[in-house]
Amino acid sequence: MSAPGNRHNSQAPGKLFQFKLVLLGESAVGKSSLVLRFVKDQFDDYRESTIGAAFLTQTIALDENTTVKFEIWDTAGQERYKSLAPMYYRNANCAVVVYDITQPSSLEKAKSWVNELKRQADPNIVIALAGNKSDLSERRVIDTETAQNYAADAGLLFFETSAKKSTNVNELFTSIARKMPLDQLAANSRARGNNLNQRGVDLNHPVAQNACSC
Amino acid sequence: MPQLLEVTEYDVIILGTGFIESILAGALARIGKSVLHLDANNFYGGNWSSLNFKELLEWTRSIQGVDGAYSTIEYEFYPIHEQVEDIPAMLLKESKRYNLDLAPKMVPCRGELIELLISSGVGRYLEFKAMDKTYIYSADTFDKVPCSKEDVFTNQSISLIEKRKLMRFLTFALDYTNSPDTYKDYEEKSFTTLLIEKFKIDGKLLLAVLYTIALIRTDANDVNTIQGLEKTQSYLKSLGRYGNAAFLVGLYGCGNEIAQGFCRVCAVYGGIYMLDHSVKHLLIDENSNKFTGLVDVNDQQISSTFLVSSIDYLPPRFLKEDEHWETTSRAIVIIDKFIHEESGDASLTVYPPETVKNKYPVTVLQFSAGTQTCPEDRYTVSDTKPNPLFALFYRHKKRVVSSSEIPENIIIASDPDSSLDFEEATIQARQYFEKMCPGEEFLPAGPDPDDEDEFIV
Repeated sequence: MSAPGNRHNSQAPGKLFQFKLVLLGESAVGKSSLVLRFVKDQFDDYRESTIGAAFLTQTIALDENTTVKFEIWDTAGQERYKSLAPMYYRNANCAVVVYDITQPSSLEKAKSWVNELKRQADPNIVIALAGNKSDLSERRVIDTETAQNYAADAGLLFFETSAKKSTNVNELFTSIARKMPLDQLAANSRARGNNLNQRGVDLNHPVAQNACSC
Repeated sequence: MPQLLEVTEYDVIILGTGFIESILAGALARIGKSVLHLDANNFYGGNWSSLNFKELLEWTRSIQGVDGAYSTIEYEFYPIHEQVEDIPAMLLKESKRYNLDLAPKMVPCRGELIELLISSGVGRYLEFKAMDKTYIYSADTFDKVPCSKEDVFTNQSISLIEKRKLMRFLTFALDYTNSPDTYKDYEEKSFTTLLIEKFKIDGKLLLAVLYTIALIRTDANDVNTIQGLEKTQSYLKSLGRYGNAAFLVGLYGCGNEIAQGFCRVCAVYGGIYMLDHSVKHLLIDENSNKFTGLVDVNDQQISSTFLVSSIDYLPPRFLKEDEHWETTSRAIVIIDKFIHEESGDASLTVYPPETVKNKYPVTVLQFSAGTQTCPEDRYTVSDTKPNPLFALFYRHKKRVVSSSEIPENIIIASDPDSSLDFEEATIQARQYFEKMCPGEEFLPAGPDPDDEDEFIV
């Protein structure tokens, strides 16, 4: 999944890198809203939970030769009773851990998700911490510096965002894209070759038998 | 403080996150049913799960002496070789890199499950590799089995005459319904008889056709011509879709990953998930003999119109006597080298009956690090040959319920069967869905995530 794909090369010239991005954080901190703003540039005040989205994709052109495509996985509520499936973390290349600047417990929860990621996910995962609902400054209880210091100590990207006002949302995802080790991935992919056994099987793309049909 | 549910009324409560329960969870939520999905274990997959090494040991201890789906459970560490003094410590240290299937299975490249994975979109969550090598054991040697036409031509272990016989049979079997004259006199006879008399296939080649192509799992004499041809045909039809393999194996373990994929569909469509959450008792109305709800571990009463349940959660009075149960002897073995040279990431080896004092065929699925089921230089098999480091033996029972006593609004998901695939289980899930929701579509595809406009900064 982390390899440069060529399925969608027709969309953009140059190289396309595809990454799995997972969202984590306490319920109601605005995980889905951030994605909705990023992917569809929409916001819905009364949105209760994510329904119907297996995952969303969004493409960012970093420069004229490099395009990054995020496959964004929402928790689908499975985090609520601590029942997130191992599949969720599997092969995640990057993660956005979200807290709500108006909810004191949500930063603590975010820290425990960061620890969980460090335990369960790929050791090279790129993690960004997002303090959402920055538009509600009058109700702020978590100051910027506290979160920023934590992020610096833990080696995370950090942004305060507002999905509602569209503040720092694109910046958040773009900076993740820029932090992905693209050169290294390009080198790895050249070494991989086209062997079916090494690449795994794509169910939607049958591979003809390499035999004569006599 | 226990986490109480905010909502206590559902269309369907589902107990257990095994393969069948999980497909139903996804299908029911997909058409708008409200679903509460509970599992008493702290992992997904129930009796279809894949566990890491530490979890496997804990699981072994937890089922020992329990009157459930497993019996005669024994495990052993083999304190040999490699200058490694403490095998248990070594395996525990790399525990997380193992994904050991409790009921190992494969996915035929054509069939019920793969079509469902593609049509529902769940296949997008999963990763597979081709199982493209099959071996058969006889008289102290392993022979590579020719499966496809290409294999037949390049295989060096069979003679030219045998190649012709085999080609003639495979060509016929792929399309057997169009040549009824060939088999009409054999319909009542055993498949073996057809192969011997009509196609002059015997000896090693006969064993290979019976046990590695038709994949017969019992005594071949009990399999009639039509059954044998059906099995052979479904095998042959699976070839050529994803390269030169009839089966795919799941990365990170098979049944558990597939179950998690369908659970995700359920969650995405609003299903509520609680693992590590047990049930105290079911509420069944005595007069109407209908399920009305249950009381959970927190004494919360939760009601639903339907209950879908793994057998693990049913009161014992619903079960038939165990002489009716199908039992499979299984072993999980961790070894330090490939069984065969050039085995690749996954291989299948079959010991036909009577080759290792066995009454029924013994099937060995070998996985290496490429399938993400174990670390490099470790291989997991569901039987053995090179140096074993660890072996766990157990008998896995497919329990049977007595249908007359069970309330009609309880749907019971079967234990894993002895087959090497998920086909019967997938069919069962679909049939249950059709029974619960007549006329509704079974797992239609969700919106395509790629239907988005490009975004440029």
